[in-house]
Amino acid sequence: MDRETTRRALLSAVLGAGVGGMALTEARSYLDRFAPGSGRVWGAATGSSPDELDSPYGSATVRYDDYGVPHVEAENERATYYALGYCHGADRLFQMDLYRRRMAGYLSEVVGPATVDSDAFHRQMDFEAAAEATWERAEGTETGDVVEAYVAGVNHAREAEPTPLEYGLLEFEPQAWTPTATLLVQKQISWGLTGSFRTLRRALARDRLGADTTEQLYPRIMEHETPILRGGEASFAAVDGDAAVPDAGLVDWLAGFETGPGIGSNSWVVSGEHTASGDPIVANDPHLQLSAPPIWYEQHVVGPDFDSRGVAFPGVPFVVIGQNHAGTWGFTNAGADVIDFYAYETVDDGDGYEYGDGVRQFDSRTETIEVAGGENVEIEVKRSVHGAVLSQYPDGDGFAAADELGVAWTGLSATRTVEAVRKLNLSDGLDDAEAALRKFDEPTQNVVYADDSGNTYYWVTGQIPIRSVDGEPVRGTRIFDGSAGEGEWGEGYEPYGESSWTGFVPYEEKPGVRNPDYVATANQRITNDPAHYLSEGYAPPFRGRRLYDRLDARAESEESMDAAFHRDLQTDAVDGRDDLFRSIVEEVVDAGGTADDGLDAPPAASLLDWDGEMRPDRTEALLFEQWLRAFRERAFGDDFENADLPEGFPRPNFWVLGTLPADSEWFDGDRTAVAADAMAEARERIDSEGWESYGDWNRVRFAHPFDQSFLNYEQLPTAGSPGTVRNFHTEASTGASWRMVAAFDGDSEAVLPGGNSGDYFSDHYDDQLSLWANGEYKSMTRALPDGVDLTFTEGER
Amino acid sequence: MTADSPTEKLATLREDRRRRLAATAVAVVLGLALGLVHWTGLLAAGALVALPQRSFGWGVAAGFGMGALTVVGFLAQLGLAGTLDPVLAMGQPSLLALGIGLLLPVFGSMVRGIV
Repeated sequence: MDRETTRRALLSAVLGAGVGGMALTEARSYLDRFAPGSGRVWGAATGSSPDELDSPYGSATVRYDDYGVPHVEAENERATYYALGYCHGADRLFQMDLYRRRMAGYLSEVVGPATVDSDAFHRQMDFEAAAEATWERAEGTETGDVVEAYVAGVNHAREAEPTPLEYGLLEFEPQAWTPTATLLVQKQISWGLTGSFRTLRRALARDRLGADTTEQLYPRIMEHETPILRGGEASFAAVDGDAAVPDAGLVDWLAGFETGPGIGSNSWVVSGEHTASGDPIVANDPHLQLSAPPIWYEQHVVGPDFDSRGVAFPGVPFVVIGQNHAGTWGFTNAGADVIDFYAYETVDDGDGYEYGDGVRQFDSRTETIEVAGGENVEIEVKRSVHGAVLSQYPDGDGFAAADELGVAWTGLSATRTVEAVRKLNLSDGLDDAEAALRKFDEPTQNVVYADDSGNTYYWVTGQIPIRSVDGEPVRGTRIFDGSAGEGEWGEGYEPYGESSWTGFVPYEEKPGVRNPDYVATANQRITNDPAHYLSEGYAPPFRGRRLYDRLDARAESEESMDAAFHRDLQTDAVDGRDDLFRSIVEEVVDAGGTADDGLDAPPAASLLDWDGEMRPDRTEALLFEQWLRAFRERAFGDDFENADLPEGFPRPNFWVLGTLPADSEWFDGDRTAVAADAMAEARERIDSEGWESYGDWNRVRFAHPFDQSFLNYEQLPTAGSPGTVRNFHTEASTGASWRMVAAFDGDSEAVLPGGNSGDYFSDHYDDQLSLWANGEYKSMTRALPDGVDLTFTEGER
Repeated sequence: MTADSPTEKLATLREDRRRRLAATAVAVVLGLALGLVHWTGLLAAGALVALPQRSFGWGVAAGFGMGALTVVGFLAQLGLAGTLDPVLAMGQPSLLALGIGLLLPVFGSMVRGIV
């Protein structure tokens, strides 16, 4: 064989091996995704979008403004929402799809083994069946028809627009959007706001710490003077015993599927009596998970009988918080208890359960969770008379205690929330709005509303169960004996079916007030004397108290409240915890011990001259926050671990910490010593981290679900804390997911934490982030911008 | 080898400068088009531009040129779409694209050493 032949043979071998390696190994995936020109990832960067489209529902136009907010105008409601569906599909398709997959329990088939736990939980809760029941109720109604038009618009965009980058990265294709998917998104929001395992956590805490201690550390009612509706005397009733104690592993596992810390909101409505314009003003900033892209989508929809601007959840067509041609409204979480848990005496090896005088079989089926790049997992999905049944971890192991745990949640039933929100968008004033809110079945919310006739309104919305034992109403603060029929809800509740809501708290008996001067809500206790049991617990009163302090002071002054005042109040960064903890700081300073430690961190004494403002340039704010965190951990950390509570078991809130007696056992009888040690620890941490001011730590950390640096937002410093009206939790990444101050004099303004587009390549991916971080706003005008971007012409697709 | 065999025809083409340049130009256009369809098109593009060249070295150089052109074309495509900055800001994914665009045609051009 000559050299030439050898060379050719060698080259052939190299080429063959190379091409084979590319085609038959993991390399192929990278080439499919990232090759220039043909890579699936680049379609979103290089693809073009049509601007002339057909719509089976009639003509419509879309004008995008300078912040990528679509202004949709059409000749009828369905044409409007078809075009809007197109906008949702063009700007947020992947996010919507992710919500659907998470809620239905189909993440692992595209994400892999990391989400098997999530899928197992969501399948066992069977939210998808609840969404299907909700759609069965809506189908064929006017609202159902509008939802179908919206869904068709989403699917039009799915086919006509470049496929979002994320699909290329994960290598899967978007499935058709459906009405059930829309209702799954609505269920997700409801679950995020009312799906709480607080009952289980408290049951575990009662077992490990004792009932009295648990009530001390996790009080259902905190003693303060500023509920939403002020006046009256609060009652502090004790708690009954549990039918079972959940195992610690279960409580820990479920913590991953419920509301995180910082989920809450502010809202207030002020009547024209106190405003410069003489018209009411509504302010609302819902505090939710802060992510890239934002949880909300801003939109302006104009039809023949309505003109509505505000924010919607991508996947659900209607403005949830905003302003229309006649009124403006906002929501905060009411914290009502709409979930209960039931333990059973099981029989037949767990296939059945005792119920009353007989035995019932669980309605059960086996489902397979498909796992990309891993082994499929089989789980059992069960139902009881109460609703869902949580029965196993994804690995097949049953729970050590309360091994079949029944769950009743209002959202497991068919609910009318989407219809209510649509009617709110169409409403011509307070009477219409109230009629719409009566159908707002979930989640339980504080709604504030004002109209252009000068009416103001506050009410608690959502279906609230009345549970009973032996015919007597009881609180939902314990695990009930499901086999004995304890704690059951009114006969009108039908999980996975249509509920009549008979036996639930009537609308008139929920807390509320028509035409108040002003009302402020911040997830604090709703009222001192409710007609019915409402909640298992509320947020600490720091934000609510600050809101009322400033509103009261302004109302009593000669200055009126214009929109600028409310924007300033919405971004108020004075920490209410400063007042509560100031005496403890004084004790620490008086005890001395940190004067000559050579650290650069600010001294404890600096906190005594500080104004309590949690702003990024403040050194004192940095020390205060770090000290509080260290102080709480020193008070409870070791003791909780010794009590065999799961790692990361939620600590008591700062209100509880600040109101414990100085000689409490949690301080081993010497609060000053614990606080001083925490101060030293905080200062050392500040030095070792190299932080100079609060903004070095208190940063935007809004992550994309893929947590890739290029998809995550820039980590800008910002103001706020868990104790300020400007509520912000930097590590949990929760805070104002939308800031809106709506007036009737044309001065409505708002801002999103990020941008309106979920497309990384868009100019509007993060163009509001700096505004948000700096506490600034942009106009929320309902005037249409110049220039049409999309034109829909009536025609078949 | 017969006088009319493909190999002989290719050898004849390589000797004729005008025909060689014309074949290279066609190969570049065809290669760019193939590269837009599938990543194997980048390999084919490299092979196509390399085959008319007079030597293995010139073939690999042509493959490199094809790769450079692919990268420039890709960047131009992004520039026209207004997405060049965010793509470059992606870091690893964009570096991967540039690397694939540059190296796959070079790898494909090695076929010149066989034919």
